[in-house]
Amino acid sequence: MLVSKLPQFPDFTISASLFSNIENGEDLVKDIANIPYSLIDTTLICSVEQIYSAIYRVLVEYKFNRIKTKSINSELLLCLSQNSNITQNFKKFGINANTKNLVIVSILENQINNDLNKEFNALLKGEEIELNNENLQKICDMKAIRKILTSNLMMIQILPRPLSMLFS
Amino acid sequence: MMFLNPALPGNRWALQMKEKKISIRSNKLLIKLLRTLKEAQAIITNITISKMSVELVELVNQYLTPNVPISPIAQGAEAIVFTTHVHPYLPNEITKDIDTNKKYIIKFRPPKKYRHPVIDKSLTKHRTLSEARILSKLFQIEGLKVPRLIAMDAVNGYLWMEFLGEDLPNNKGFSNLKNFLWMYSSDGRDPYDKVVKETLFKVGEQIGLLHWNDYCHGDLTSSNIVLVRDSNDIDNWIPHLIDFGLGSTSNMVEDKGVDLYVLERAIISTHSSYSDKYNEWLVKGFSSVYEKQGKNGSKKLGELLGRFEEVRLRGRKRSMLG
Repeated sequence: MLVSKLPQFPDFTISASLFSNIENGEDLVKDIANIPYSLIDTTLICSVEQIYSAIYRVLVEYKFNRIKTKSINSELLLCLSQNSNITQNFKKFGINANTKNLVIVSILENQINNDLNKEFNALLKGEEIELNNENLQKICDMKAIRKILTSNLMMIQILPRPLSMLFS
Repeated sequence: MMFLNPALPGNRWALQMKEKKISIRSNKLLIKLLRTLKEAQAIITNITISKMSVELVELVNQYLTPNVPISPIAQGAEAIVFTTHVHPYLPNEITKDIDTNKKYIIKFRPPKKYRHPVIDKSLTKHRTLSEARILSKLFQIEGLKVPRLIAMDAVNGYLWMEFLGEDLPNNKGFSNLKNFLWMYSSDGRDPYDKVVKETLFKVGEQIGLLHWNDYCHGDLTSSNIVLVRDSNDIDNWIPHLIDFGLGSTSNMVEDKGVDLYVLERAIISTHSSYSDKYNEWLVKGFSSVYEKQGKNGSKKLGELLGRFEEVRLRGRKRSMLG
């Protein structure tokens, strides 16, 4: 689990984990409204920067503007893309019944939760692996990313340089 | 004899002195004087930065919190630029793999007190957004080098970008094109060196690529072109275009001609003795991009250079009447 604070937002604690071989995708989808975390399908995620730049955007919107969805957790899914269509982004980045790999993110304001790792493991039936670019690149779907990127320019920006060059 | 451009304040002063028959024994002394003037000017700019923006820096510090230490490096009419070593969002576990000594640029558009707050907010947001958009689109053009956008807060007018360039050896300043050319015209170095020629050609290519893709810079000067040294080859300087605050998409020949004209004027006013050759090399690099595109490219190039000639005759503003 990667626990960090954004330098500009010291009140928020961000914890993120990568899980693979998820078995209870269907249950998760059913219960998604009650889960106090963001669940991101990794099909379209190939770099940690993608997730954290979205978190930054969420916090900026939350603190200085207003969020466009109901909660911080759902806002993260919206902020993963420059597209402002909420439903479309949920479909693209949110989990579905067939999701095998996912990133789980918790953003807590003025709170510390030491049991977060346990809670993650209780919620997700899968195998936790280290959240880093290498692992993400192994499990993401390059073909799908390539397809999406042609219509979504902002995403290339946030990819690490060698990767972004792949698409230009 | 050095050619003195009367348009520059320093030069004007020197010319006046000459007219008053105050004897300046040699060109060397004159050059020395001019350099002192230049340094004095630099100091004055530094003072104005620190004096003008104490309030603004305080504002930025409040926004960024003490976790992000900053140092101001430049101020324009529209924005202040800071550097920092802190990445806005990546956890240390990730950044430590990339580069420990990386710097980032923060470009801040401060609120203007003379505007109505509501209008000010929407203008700041609009301009920050449009600069970010242009930057992100240019970043994807193959061969074109611009800084990478890292984060944006349009509401408050903040842009985070990657830091480019370095300090030139022997205190010659930051590695933008202006200082680079100055470096090669001092200390007995050859201003027509092969490295200078290659670099200017590459600068021309960058501008060519920009224009071929129908983007305009809007404020193309020699200090808005940053040279990044190739880590494998000391004499290979890779030009990057920065500051797209006035950038736009445009397929108009006029805008592109003006871009070229502004850069030519910039070179003439800062490197007047060698500007003929310098501008020739720039245009050569520029043309090479268009010529690669076949017949269509050559046609467009002819049109563009024709307009460039026209702009040069009449100046940047199209209509001088009324």
